[in-house]
Amino acid sequence: MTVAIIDYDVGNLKNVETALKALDIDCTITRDHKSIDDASAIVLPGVGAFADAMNNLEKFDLYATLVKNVKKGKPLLGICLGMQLLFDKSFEDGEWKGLGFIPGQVVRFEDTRETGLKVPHMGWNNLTLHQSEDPIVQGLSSQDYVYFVHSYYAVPDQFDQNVVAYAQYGVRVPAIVRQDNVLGMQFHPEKSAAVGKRLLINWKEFIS
Amino acid sequence: MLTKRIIPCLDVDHGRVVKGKKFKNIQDVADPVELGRYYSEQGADELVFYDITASYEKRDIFINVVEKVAETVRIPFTIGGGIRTTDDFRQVLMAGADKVSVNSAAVSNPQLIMDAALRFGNQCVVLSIDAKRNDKGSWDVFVDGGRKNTGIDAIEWAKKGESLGAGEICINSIDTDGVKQGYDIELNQKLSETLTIPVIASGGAGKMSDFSEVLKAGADAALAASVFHYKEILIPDLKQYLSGEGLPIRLV
Repeated sequence: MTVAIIDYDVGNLKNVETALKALDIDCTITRDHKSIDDASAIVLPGVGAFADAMNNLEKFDLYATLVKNVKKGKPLLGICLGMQLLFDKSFEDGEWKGLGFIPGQVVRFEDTRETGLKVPHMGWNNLTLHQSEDPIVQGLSSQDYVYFVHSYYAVPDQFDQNVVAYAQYGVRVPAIVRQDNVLGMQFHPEKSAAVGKRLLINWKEFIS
Repeated sequence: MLTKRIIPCLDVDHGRVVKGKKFKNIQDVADPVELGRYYSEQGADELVFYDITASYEKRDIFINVVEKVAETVRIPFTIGGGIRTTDDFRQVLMAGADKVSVNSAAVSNPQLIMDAALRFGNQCVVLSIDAKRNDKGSWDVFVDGGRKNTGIDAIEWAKKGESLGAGEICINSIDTDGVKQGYDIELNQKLSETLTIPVIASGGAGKMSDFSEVLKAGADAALAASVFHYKEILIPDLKQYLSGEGLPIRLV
């Protein structure tokens, strides 16, 4: 079992690799199409701007490769910005097309002067389990905190169908989303201490 | 619910953790990687490592520390000290840091905040401000380790930093730093009311109620060093106490 961590020039990917390797998951940071095709699962990490990320996926000709592998049923995990890319489009500084694996869009948090909540949504927030039977959240409870840092959040067309867990921050912020073999985590499991480790162990079991 | 954060800060000189009192009387405490791991296990929400090594040539020692911390610690951490260019940002981010803090360099070159935010994202740009009360009832921005008064108003500078793209403000009060008589509550309250980005209070923690006071005043996170390094306050005790005070806290 090898996991391909997609390298498309969107920040440091080493922390994701370190966290996976600590769980004895064989992984490689790559943008090589054959390595991605040969991998048993794919991780799409990423920080920064949505438009840059999509442009880079296009630049490295990774869009078609991702679509092809997802259609074959290969597990894909999007983390942070990588989760946002899974949706149809984002309104981050314009309107940008996403990968379209999960129906919905990505929008900015409301003006903080109205909500009293600061943006970015930064820090530890607890997960409310929306589909507690999903294997990815096995062993977790609503007392479990994970680390978020983002200014935009996903609005799935079908919340009940695609949201496995969410966090409360003025609105229900989708934290873990799923569409069949495609999973997304808005927070950073690799930075979420023991709870993040639990989630990655669950994902390991899912891809094994 | 989003919790208030407790952040131990580690000053690192030539790869070792030190703690200054009013920026003086520095003495060696421990290995940054081991101390970072210890704090993480104790329930720290984030860590900050400041490189205070005077010699820029010794930078590789510190980068090596950053890499080791990233391999060892599973909570977010910020790197500060000696950050002058976006390439400096890149170097520590690639070594595994989650955020980068800028102080003096941003005062002399505010464009650095914008360039870094555009290149790496707002979330990783922390504007650190050393502020000291003046006799006009406001605060001045100091640079060069608290030695030089710029005459710039600290609140205005924080607002400008936010508009340039900083994702967070760390406000260190020179008046309260190292004195252990509590954070500058008024300064933190004013900043929290003014800004729409998170505020980290720094300087002055001596007892558990100091944390409670500043977090209730509006700070999103409280940073401290010596009370943790010398085990005067244990993080699990502190978090239990703050939770009992009705603050949203991540208990581990």
